[in-house]
Amino acid sequence: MKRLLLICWLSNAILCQGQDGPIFLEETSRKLAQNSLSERWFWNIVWKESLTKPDSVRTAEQLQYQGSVFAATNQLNRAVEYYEKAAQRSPRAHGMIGYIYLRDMHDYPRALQHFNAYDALTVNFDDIEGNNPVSYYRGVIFLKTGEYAQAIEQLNRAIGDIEGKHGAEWVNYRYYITRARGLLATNQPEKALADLDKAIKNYNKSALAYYQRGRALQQLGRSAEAKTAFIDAQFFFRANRAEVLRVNQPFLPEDQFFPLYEAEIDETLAKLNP
Amino acid sequence: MVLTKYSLLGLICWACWLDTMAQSLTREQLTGKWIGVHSEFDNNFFCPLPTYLNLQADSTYYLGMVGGTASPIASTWNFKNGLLRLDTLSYTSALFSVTDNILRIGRLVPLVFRRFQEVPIDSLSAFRMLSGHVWETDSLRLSLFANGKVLWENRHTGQRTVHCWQLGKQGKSTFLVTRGNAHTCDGNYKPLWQLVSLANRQFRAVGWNGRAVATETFRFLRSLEPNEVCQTTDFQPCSNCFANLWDPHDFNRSGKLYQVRQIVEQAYQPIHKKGESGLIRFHFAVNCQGETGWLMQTELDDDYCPKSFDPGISGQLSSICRQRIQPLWSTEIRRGDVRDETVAISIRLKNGAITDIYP
Repeated sequence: MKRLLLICWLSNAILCQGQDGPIFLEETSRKLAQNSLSERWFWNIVWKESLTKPDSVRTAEQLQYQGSVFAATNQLNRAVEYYEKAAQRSPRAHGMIGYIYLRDMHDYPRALQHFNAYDALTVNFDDIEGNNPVSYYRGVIFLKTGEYAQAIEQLNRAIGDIEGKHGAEWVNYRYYITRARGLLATNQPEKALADLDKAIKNYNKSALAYYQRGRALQQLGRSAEAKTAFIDAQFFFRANRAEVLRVNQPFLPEDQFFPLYEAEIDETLAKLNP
Repeated sequence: MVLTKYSLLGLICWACWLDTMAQSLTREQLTGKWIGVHSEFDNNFFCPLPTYLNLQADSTYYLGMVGGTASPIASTWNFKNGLLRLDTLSYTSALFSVTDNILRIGRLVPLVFRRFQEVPIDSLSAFRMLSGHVWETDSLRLSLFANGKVLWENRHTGQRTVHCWQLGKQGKSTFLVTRGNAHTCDGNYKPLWQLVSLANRQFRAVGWNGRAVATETFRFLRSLEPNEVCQTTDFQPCSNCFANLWDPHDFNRSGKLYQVRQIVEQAYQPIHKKGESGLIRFHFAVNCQGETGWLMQTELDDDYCPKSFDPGISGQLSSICRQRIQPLWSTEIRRGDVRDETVAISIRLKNGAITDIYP
């Protein structure tokens, strides 16, 4: 998140300029405040000024931030150079760098390489990056590259660890949905359906879970139930969106790696109703 | 050892000089009116600042609009022991500087002001002289239409944009104030120019010329024809403070990525060819009216080094982008949106086949 701090801040500031008389004064006052000794903006200054420091004195996070600035300005070769430097500076940065390659650049070979390096830092432990274990990210990567057996193996590990220690109700519902994708891709709809039922049990408003459940039921030839699942997906998609928009929050995809779109549900339903 | 000793001595001298510089700034040097030049978002990205600071000798402080489109905000200021206070805000000597009559405040997004010098110019005479004519400096060409529109041409880049112009007063001085876009005279500003002399077939003005604050001579180029219309075919953002790439379209929120993927996957005819692997990226800007422009295509190999794809592949994707994807941001579809933004679409290829499409 830190990597986008300056970029987001700049965007907001730019947008606020399109205003009239008194609001321009207010905007200038705000900028004067942001440039003052106010502690609130201190870290933004530190981050911005880190861009002018020599690489040799920058921290791994600052090198990574520099990479993100290059990425935002379409200089991907420089971005990659700095991501790699960040990982060299601190092995712990491998996790975050892997995540950036996966989420922002869809560069699966590099993402896997960094997650593997990160996981190798501790023996016999599924290292955590952000809120998820590395095995989950590996599962996502293998799904993206079509290596389904390996994806299922990694997701078994991610899910199995939590199920074994705390019980199925403590597993992130997205892990079950992600494993179900792999199971569906390898023609194992019954197992996928079991995973999706667990996902729905853990979050019963998940449009994504109902949509995948519809796909599993389709694969099993249970068309009427599949249609009901897709209608449920459509309902929860719209209901969830209405709920977040009502409180003026952005409506984000349930799963950033496998986003579901309303048009996708609508088209699937349309195909069922020729 | 000798080198280290002298280096240390140099460092101490430099620190002393810095300290002296900070301390040498006096209250008198800060006192006076300062006209906004711009805020510096990045080394090459500035947004014009239409405001002024008036630091009066009696410690009264005013923040107002050049041209007086709003009542100034009044408060107090002080400068003591190297600490500048504006209202309740404080700035240490590391946070502001005065050099060559330029006041810089801040380090995050520095605000730049220039010292104001009163130059009485009659605005009516100035309007009569400027209106209806084309004027140019080495870097700028201004076509000042009598209906209040101006065609603003950057002579270095060739970019032409449409705005509104008027003359604004600051004391007895007159400023050429330009703001808005082709659709509205509201919105943010272009650099302000303070007129300092009017002469036969030329005028001089102080302002930001793209490189520095300078006094520029605007030479008469020609008179505008009575039927001449102020317009341009160039793409123009609605905001005069829009930096390409810095304000990306949020695909997560718009849900348009699904449509983009559908379009590209359906329209692209794969050309299977070994070595045609890597990334083709498209960036284009969309203004608040749903007009698109500044299309940029970047082709990279798997290691992100520049490469050229087979023209059959890159040309095909370029056509799809121009003909099918850019229209997704047209006015009807963008209803409710009022922002300028940049759309980025990346297409990964392996041996000529698309493997991924993402923002």
